[in-house]
Amino acid sequence: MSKAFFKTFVQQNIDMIQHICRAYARDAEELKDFVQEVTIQLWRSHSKFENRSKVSTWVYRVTLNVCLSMAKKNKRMVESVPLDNLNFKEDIDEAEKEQIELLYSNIRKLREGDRAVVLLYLEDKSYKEIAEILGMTVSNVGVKVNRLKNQLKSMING
Amino acid sequence: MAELDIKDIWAKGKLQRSNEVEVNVDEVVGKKSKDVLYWVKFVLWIEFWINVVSLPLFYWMMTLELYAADIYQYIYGAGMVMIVVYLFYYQFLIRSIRKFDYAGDVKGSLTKIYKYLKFYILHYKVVVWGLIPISCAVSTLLALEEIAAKDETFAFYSTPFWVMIGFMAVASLLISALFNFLVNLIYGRKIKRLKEMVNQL
Repeated sequence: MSKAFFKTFVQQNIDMIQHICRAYARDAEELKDFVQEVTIQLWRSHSKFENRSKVSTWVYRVTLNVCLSMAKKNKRMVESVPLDNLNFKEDIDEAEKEQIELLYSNIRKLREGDRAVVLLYLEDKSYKEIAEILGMTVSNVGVKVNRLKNQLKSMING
Repeated sequence: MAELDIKDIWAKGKLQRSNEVEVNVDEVVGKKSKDVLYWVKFVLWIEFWINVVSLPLFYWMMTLELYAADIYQYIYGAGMVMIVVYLFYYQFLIRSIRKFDYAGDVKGSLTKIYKYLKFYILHYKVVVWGLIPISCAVSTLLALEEIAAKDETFAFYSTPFWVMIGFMAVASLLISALFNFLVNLIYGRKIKRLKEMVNQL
């Protein structure tokens, strides 16, 4: 993969990378570190990528593994900017705003491993793909997704 | 009440987001990784080169002692063998880290690297609290023997003997504590972080 191609590739996937990293980073600075680290690791790993799995599976795998291993790394005591705070656009009503904020904040309350399962489920990945990305069995993914889905719903409904 | 669709909420939330992080690929690609494995590899490379440099030094000292035909030639010889073993182990550790890939079996690979490093640190503890006091004791005894050979008035178990033994004990304890502090300073946080990473995955 040439650098130019990799550049385009990163641009195409940056939204997804940021969505995942945001669920693990505690502030804007950490988010930047995570995204940069994912990009470095994707570049380092691309030569080893064998077309046995989908490219998206590979990107999710690297992103989640970097986030899981980097999370909690810097126990900074500085006041962090909560990433759940969204700057909502005007075309959204209050009830929806509240639901989105609740979903984001409750995802961040989950354990790191569970968070990965939920994020992939929300990104519309099949159980098979989630299992492949996280190195779990499909049945285990099914059980976890159902449990976490219900947990999140009850958390949002209060 | 309608069933809550969390996928739909997530998708709506995604639409509210704009890119917060701009990635300059040209700049990032040339950057070094900030992960703990990079720093472990960095330290291992430094240790590897220190050993490479000390190998000819040990060889030179051993050849000097060959003419004297005393115990030191064996000590330096054993030192050389140890350095060669170290060089192989450093390379083995560095290769394990280099092979590590975030797209692969991350937990399995990290667990292996953690175990190898833990073994390595354990070996340091044995060297620090075992080999250093033993070599201090041996060199003090050799020194005492030399003194006794030159000075006929020197008697074993006399006051100067106990003073030297006491000095050797305190010195070896201080040297061991200093090396132990250095090992903890260099590897302590890194190995703790690796354990954390393994547990998190």
